[in-house]
Formats: sequence, structure tokens, C-alpha cells
Amino acid sequence: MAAFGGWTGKTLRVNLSTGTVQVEDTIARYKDVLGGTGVGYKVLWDEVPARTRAFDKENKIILGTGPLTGTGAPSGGRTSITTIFPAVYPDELVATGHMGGGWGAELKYAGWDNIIIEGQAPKPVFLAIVDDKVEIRDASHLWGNGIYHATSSICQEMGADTQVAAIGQAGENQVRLSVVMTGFSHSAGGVGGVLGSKRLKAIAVKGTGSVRIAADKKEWKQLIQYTLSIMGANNQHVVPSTPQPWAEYYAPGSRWTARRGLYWGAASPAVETGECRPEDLHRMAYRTAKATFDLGPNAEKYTVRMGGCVSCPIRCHSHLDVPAVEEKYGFSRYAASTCVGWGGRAFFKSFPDGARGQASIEAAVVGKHLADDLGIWTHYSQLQRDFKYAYDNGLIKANLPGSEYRSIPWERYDNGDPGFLKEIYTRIAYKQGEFGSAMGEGSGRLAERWRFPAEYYKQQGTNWWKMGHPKHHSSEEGGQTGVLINMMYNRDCQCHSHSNFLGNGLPVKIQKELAAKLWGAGAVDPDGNVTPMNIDKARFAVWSVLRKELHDSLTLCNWMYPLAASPLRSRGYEGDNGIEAKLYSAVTGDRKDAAQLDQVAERIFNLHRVLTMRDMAAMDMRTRHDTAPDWVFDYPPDRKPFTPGHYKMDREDIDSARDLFYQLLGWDKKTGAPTRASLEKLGMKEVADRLERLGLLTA
Amino acid sequence: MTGIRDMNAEEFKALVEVVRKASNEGELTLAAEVCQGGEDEFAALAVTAAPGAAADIIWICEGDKSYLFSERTMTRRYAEAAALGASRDPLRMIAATVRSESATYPRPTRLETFHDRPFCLSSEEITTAVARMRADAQYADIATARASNGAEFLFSSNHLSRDQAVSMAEWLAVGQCDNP
Repeated sequence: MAAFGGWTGKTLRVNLSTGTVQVEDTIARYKDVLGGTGVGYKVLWDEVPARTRAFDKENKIILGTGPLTGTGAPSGGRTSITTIFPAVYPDELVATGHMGGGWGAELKYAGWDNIIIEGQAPKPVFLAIVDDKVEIRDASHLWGNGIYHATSSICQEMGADTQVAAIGQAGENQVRLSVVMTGFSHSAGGVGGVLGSKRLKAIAVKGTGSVRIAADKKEWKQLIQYTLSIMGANNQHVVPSTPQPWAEYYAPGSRWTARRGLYWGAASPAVETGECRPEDLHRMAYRTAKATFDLGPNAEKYTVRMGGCVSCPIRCHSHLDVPAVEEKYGFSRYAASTCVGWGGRAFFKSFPDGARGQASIEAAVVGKHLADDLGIWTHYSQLQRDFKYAYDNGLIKANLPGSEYRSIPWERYDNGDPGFLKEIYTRIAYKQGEFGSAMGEGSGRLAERWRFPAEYYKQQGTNWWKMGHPKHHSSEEGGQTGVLINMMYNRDCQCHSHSNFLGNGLPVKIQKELAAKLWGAGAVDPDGNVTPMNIDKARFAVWSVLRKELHDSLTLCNWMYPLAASPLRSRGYEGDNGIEAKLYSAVTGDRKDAAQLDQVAERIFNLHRVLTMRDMAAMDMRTRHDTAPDWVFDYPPDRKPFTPGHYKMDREDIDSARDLFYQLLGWDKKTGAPTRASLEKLGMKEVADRLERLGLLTA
Repeated sequence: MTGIRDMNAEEFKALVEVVRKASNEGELTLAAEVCQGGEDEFAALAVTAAPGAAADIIWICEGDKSYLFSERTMTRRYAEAAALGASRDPLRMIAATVRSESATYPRPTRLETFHDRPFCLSSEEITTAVARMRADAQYADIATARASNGAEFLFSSNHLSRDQAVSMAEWLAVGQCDNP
């Protein structure tokens, strides 16, 4: 039995070139970086040569769980998949895709914390794991098939209770915008092509074991109940979306959408979500009625139920039954997804019956099936935005051979016909023609290949951020805090720590009171009224990034955690900033408080930083990496920063934001690079030594 | 109907339970429908006949009517909104809600909000009320902000600038959907 709870103690290393598998000691090698992204960054730093490209045989891909995965810790079902990321532009750099579902927990039950995949198989294979038995099996019969078929076939072969993570045709064809998918709707974006390059179709897992929890049963049960008591709805929104008797506050944008008179209308019989009062933990799963939130009020009648990941009380995946999808387009009428997973409709400029009518819902379901079966990543809907930009500006017509352009039935697109989506997704998955080859490359390469005009990178509505990826909760959520967070990553930042708090629905006065205890009251501005940079905002940004890394390594869902606020009026709406540390300590027996665990997260974030520097061969992160697009500073053109009614930033102010962010992390202000002192403080002397040998350590 | 001053302890406790049950259902209790007497008499009996039995029962007045609710299951904020809703004076109800939200959160209030409980106005009632407010000087601070998708909001210029209200309306109606 491992000395600590939580971890199984074993990491699996699979070399597809040699067909060998090895077992490594998780605790000895990886405890200092917890799991998930932490392990991924460490493996890439230790083992993958600098400047390795995503589809090179030398690249490795790490599927990492963490000590909390599969323990029953609420929202602890995620898996982080870390690799040199294909869609980063122009250099291919480290990044992570994340998936929920039940795969990560099953891996733990099989006795494994992480899987490191290296090399390249000579022919298509899949990995079959049943407890400690690991086999590399032939996947010739699966290659060329979609994720749905591959998943079902493997389950027929190994048993219905097998958890499968698979790629579709897009991943096989090394489309940069491709996913790894588990459970038919839980996808890790951007990493599918790396598995494709290694000819690894899927990783299937069956486990009969369990995860040991260090705390005694009573302590653990009390902690779980306490954690549930301070959880809200999806994105840790802590007030309902409509006025309700029990609620002091409400916010129309809240994902706590349950209310009297709102139903899972396609359930038999229909189920009323009703009021879900915070103290009624048995009704937590009803709080987030997401279909109407994502797709509009017409989706109520199609909602069968809500679903989601293992051990998560927040059911954010809408399970729909839309008969017209089968009747009109030949796809299954049943579909489950959430958020941008319904983004097929976002390709269209309009629908005959409006933005949230029947055609929009049909497009959402048709698009979900195509993207999730072919294994295409829509890149936080940047694929759709780029498509519309190219179409509206004549760039598709200009860049496609005439015969190819004419082969696409554009009138169906102009008419808002959901069936048109098959043209888009199929061409991308198979890299058909210029359209399919270019669109799947991701924004950076697409824009270069089709010579998008300079305005593309400067216009606010394109959402372009940098390095081939879009913004993700940037200046419009937290002003400088959102900008700083978006600057730090190589893909769209996938950080929700700040946006969860800012979107929680509480009045700004209460948000400021809560912020004062964590970062300083100046961290929060009234919405649409940004004030100049201050140290509180920098603390908020650093906290946000560190908690994101912590969640992706423990693993906990960053779409719920941190729990900085709660729905409880009796607590003054305060959450618990130390909840991650409490869960970690109880599970592992390694007692750490919030500050100590944040320091581990800081170590992980620094690994991401030095990996980025190494592969960019650059020390000057400040000007070469930590950048924001012009639209952040120039839009709207007729307004001055720090006046009400917009989110326009000031360049000098953002310079000072960088200074403060670097200062808090002990990084060099001139370059934004970690220093020897900052690294050694985190126990990373060897990293500092190596950085020095690479000529990347500041003087 | 028994007057409060004539109630014994058991009758008083039964009255409290009626109020609690209604509050749990999201409804106010109209004082005049369940008892005769005023808040002072209620408070006096709560102290003398049934100490502690009604600590959660709150009286509020809206216009010439008094309402009771239990703060165990209903917040004062909701109760006040419900009392306004019960007044069937849409102009006053809308203005009070808009002013409160512009001051409290702060944010503009989407017109669709007034379809929800406890307001329960029809589209026609909302449209009519907003039109009448524009011509009434006592609602001069209530202004309209429109998002680019046509969604209409109201805000109070006493608490929100037009620029901020328009920006927030755009965020609430369009921005949040585009940035899930």
C-alpha cells in the first residue's frame, strides 16, 4: 500500500515504437507536481528535446489524473492531457487539453495515476488496460472509423463497463484541431492529432480496484458534505437566474437556472426542476438546467435529463431527444453535450426561425454528432468565427480552386440549413481539398495560409488573441486580471478561476467584501467600469492562474472550483479558499494548507513557463509571449480607458500589470522570466541550472 | 375571523404555521385574510402568549396592505418584490425593481424579468407600463438601454450612467452568450 492516499502509486509508460510498457513510482517521481498537468509538464521538461514538434515521434503525450481523481471529491473526475500542442502558432509549444467523464476515475480504479505515451506504433493500435494487465492491441479494424464506432466496438470487445478515450478521423489524419473523446461527449481539445501521429486510436480502461483515502470515513464524509454545502451551480454561480423566494439576490446570467415551472420536458413523465434551495443537497443535480441556458427556451421540451462527469453533483451536460434530427438529417435524435459542444449552430449567420429557434437546436445537435464522431475540436468556437470571417470577406472563394468552391452548396449555408454542417466537418476531418486542409489547421496557420488581412488580428469581434488562439474570458471579465491570465498561456487559457467569481451573480459590494479577504477589495471593479491597475488585481490574476494549475493537477474541475463564494447567506456568501487543501490533505494524508498547496501550483506554473521559454528559445517573455492583441487597447476607438461603458485597456497600464504580476511571482520584470531565486524558492534548483545552461536564466 | 388580541397560544401558533406554509410555497400572506389586528398586536402576542414561536415572521406594508412571511424560507427582498407585484401597479413595481437593481448589483434590468414570479406581467402589460413611464415625470430617471440583438433593458440614471448601462446590457444579452 502506498504511503499516501489518493495516488495509486503507479505511472504507466508505454513506448509504441518498441511495444514495451514500464511501471514507474508516481510518488518518487511526481509527487512534487501532484498529477495531471504537473506530471505532463515535468515529463516534457525532463524528457522531450527542445523544439520538438507536435507530430514528431519524439513528442510525448501524458494523460494525467491526480490524487483527488476518482476519490468521490465533488467534481473530481477530470483528466489532463499534456503534450506539445499542434495548434500553437508559429512555434508548437506545451499546452493541455482536459476531459471529464469517467475515464480518469476508471484509470485510478485500474491502479494507475498517469499514462505516458511515447514513440510511434508501426500500425494502428489501441491500448487495453484491465487493472495491471496492459496490452497494445491491433486497431486496424477501428482505424478510419469515428469515435462513436470505435468506442462501441472496444466496449463490445472488453465489456460494456469499459471507459474508452478515442480519436476520430480528424485525429488519425493529424488535423491540428482534433480531440480525444471519452463517454461520447467529454473531449480534450487540440490533442487528438498527437495520438493520431502515434497511430494510437484509443486507450481503453477497466478497473476493479479503488482509491484509498487517508482520512477516516467520518472525517471524509463530513468534508464532502461541507464541500457540497458551499457549492453553487455550474461555474460556481451562487444565485439563481430568476427571483426566487429563498434567494436574496438573482442574476439573469447565472447558470442556476432551475425554477418552478421549468421542466426536463422530454423525460417520461416530465420532471420539474423546481426551486433548488442551497440547503437541499439532494436537489443539487437539478440546479443547472443547462439546455435552456445554452440553446434557449425551446430546448426545454427536448431535455430528457442532465448528465455529467463521475462524482460531480453539478450536471452540466444536457441530454436531449430531438426527433427532427433523425428524420431530417439521419443522425441520432439523442445527444448529450454542453456549452460550446453545441457550437455547430455558431457557423451560421442566421436561421430561418431566429437565433434560438428550432433550426438552431437542430444545428446544435447535428454539429455535436459530427464534431464528436469525427473528433474535431472547434477551438472554443474560433473555428466557427474564422469560417464566418473568411466567408464574409470572400477569403474562402479567393483561396479555393473554382471547382472546389462550386462543389460546396453555399445556398444551404446562406439558408441556415443544419445539414450543411456535414460539408464543413467532413472536409476538415479528412483534410479534403484546400477548404478541409486549411480550416483544420487552427487560426494562426489558417490566417497565414489564406492571407487574412491585418485587420483580422486587430478587430475585436474576431476574438483573436495571440499565437493562434482566441481570447478566453479576457478584458471583458476582470479587466487587467483577464488580460494577464490570457497572456500567460500558449493556447486559449482555459482558466475560469476569475470568471467563476466575477460571474457568480452577487452584487459588486459583496464581491468586493469577499475579494478584500483574498486579494484586496481593489481586485474587483463594477462591471463595465474598469479602474486602473493595482496590486489587488495582480494578486487576483496570480491566484487565478495558480488555482487553475492546481485543479488541472489534483484533478478538480476548474469550471466549478475555486469555491471563493458560496450560495449561503448565513456565511455572508463566503466560500472556502482552502477547500482544495482540505480535500487534498484528507485524501492523501499529506497535510498542507492553502498557501502550501498554492506553492506547489506555483512550481507547476513555473514548469509551464520554462518549457515555453525553452521551446521558444527565448528569455524575453514580456515582449515575445505575454502579449495582447491591439483590439484590447484600441476598441472602442472613440473611448478613453477607465471611463464607464467599455473594457478598453491602456498600454502603459497593462505594462504596470505585467510588472506587478511578475513581482508577485519573483520573476524578472524586464523579461518576465523566472529567476534563480524564484525557482530555488520552489525547490527547482535543477531547473534553474538547466535554464542557465540553455542561456535562458536572467543575470 | 379571530382578532389577534383574542387568540390563545395555540391559535397564534396555528396562524404562524399558515404563514410559514405560504412562504414555503413562495406566497405572501395577506394579513387581513388571516387575522384582525396590526403588527403591534402581533408582536405583543408573540412575546406574551407564545414566546419565540413567531421569531421568523415578518410584517411588511405595501400601500394600504400588510403582508406576513417567514424569513426561514423567504427573503425580505423577495417579499418586498412580491408585495409590489401584488399591488398591481406595474409602473411603481417596475420602477422600484429597476432602481433597486441599478443601485444594488449594479445592472440594468431586462424587460423579460417582469414575466417571472413574483412580477408575472404579460408582454402587453410591460410594454404599456414602460410607455406610460416615459410620459410620467416621477419616472424620469428610468431609461432604456438596448443590446445589439434587440434585447431591451431599463436602468435608473440615478445609479447607472447610460454608457455603463448600455455596456452591461450588451454583455448580459450578447457577450455572455458569446463567451460561455
